Amino acid sequence: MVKNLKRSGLTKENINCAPVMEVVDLSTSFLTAAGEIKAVREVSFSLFAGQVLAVVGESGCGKSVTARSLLRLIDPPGYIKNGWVLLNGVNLLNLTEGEMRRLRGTEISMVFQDPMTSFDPVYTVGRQFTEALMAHEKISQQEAKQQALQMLSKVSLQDLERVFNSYPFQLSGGMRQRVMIAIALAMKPKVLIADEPTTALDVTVQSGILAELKRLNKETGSALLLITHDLGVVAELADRVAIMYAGRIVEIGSVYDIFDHAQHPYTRALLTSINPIQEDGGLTAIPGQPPDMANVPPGCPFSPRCPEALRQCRQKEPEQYIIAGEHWVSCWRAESEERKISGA
Amino acid sequence: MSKYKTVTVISFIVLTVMAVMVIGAPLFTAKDPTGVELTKTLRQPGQGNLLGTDEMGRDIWTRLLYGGRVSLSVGVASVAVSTVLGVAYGAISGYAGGWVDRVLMRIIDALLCLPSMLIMLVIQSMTRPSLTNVVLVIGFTTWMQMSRLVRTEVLSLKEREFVLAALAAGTPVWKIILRHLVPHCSPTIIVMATVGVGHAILSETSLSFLGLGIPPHQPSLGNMLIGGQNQILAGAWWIPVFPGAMIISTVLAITFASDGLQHILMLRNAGIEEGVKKWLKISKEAA
Repeated sequence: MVKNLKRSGLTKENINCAPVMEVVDLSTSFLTAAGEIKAVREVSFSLFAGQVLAVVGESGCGKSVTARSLLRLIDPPGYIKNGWVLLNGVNLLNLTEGEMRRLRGTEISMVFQDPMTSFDPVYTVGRQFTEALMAHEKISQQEAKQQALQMLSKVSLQDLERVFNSYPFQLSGGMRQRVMIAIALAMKPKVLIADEPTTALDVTVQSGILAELKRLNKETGSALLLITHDLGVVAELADRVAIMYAGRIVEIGSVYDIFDHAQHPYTRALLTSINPIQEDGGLTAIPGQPPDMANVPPGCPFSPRCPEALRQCRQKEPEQYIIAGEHWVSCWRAESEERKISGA
Repeated sequence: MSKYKTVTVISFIVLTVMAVMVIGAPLFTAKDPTGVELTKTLRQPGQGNLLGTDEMGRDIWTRLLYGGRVSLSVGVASVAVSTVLGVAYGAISGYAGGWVDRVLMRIIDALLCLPSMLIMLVIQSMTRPSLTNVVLVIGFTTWMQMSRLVRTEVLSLKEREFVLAALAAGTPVWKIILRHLVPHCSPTIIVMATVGVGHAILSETSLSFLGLGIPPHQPSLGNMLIGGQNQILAGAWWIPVFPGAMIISTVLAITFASDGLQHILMLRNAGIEEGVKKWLKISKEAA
């Protein structure tokens, strides 16, 4: 457990402020005809109040499955294989379905990628807002509406009464996402998960939504788990960054650690791939394809695409090495005895 | 499209007229539907009796109105039973998925293997015939199609993101089914239910015709048919023809109406979301 906690990012610097949520060795698999798909493999991280942890990775690397696992919203044939999801010391994976349901929306909330599809198109957003409130509190329709309007004003929406009585398609994408955020934060959750909250929005609206998220995150003191593949968003918003590849976190650290002292070749490749300035003016792409998750190659999953792969990279999965403070990486290149996370 | 519109409008007019006449039966006739007048048996249409009398001297027009009342209410009530049952069963099966779904659907397959008319006959012959019994028997033997359709819709609807969003907000599953999934199936449900009313009326008349439906002393379209079949050779054509025509026109009108509804609700195109938009537009123009 000590080893695991350490790996989740608990170090001297932040030992005093206990994390709101700790995820330890979380594994989620899908049993399909092609075999067991290990979508999330032994993922560990911590979320701290008022802080933003960004999870970055390519499509299909397990970001969204990780997020849904925290809410225990994995549908068969998927299942959470093992691990702990500790919210204030309570393991969510041991709760009954009823207990878990009461936590959803109150302690952990989620904002989805596309605010068009995450609203039921046949009800007004107001009705869906009050429904969410009344699912958890014994309040009247009127009280729920008052609370809803108050929350809507907090996400910088104007003309609240009209927004409240609008159907989702009558609002713009940005407005819908603001309403979504308002609903998610209405019950003052300790953890807010935002699964690519700006992907479906255009760039000008994006920055507004991100600013809103950041401000509310600081204001309410909830921990924000931001799932994205947009490193620009990460740089703007995140306090800490976790890089995921093939279901594993390969590197985690503060936003400065990741952007200035990236250790993992994959992280570096990601960072160079967003930098368009190359001598011939083209983009730097990472060669190859992400691995087939039903058939992950032995050793480091990134080794087939890694420009710096050693022989042992293709044979043995790398262990985790602390670079500095809460910055650690899972790469043989960083191997050294004293950096090794004890007991691993 | 315009062909559909005319037929649909005519069907709805026919149905409305029938409903009004049947519900307000006492307003359209002063006679008693069960009143036997042995001095006036087998009278031709006209001559004081609009549509003639039967072998017991009962007024056909009066019996047609009251019989239509029974048949239509059996149709509507039994569809209500089968709709509630079918929607609940289908929604649960579709939402649960996995082996629960498989077991529930195989049960439906098994039930559909048995001819429903046969089950109705068996149950009816074991119980005392009454209006409630007919409603329940028809309701409980015709819910399977509805259930299958609702299940398929729910199967695809539950994968939509707003269901996940509702779950993530902590909405209880029953509420999601009742408030989000079933309303989205409403175009299907409405069309299926309308078609069902026609079928239920036919079932009721068949049962009554076989003497296992509505008790013989009560007028119903089926009862009138069986009563008429003995007299038709004696030349009293008016006894079976009018109830027969009423059955055909009702069922045809219902069928065309449900066809039209299907187009109006755009079942094949965009579904309920487009419907909401359209409805908002109409109500805005009206305002």
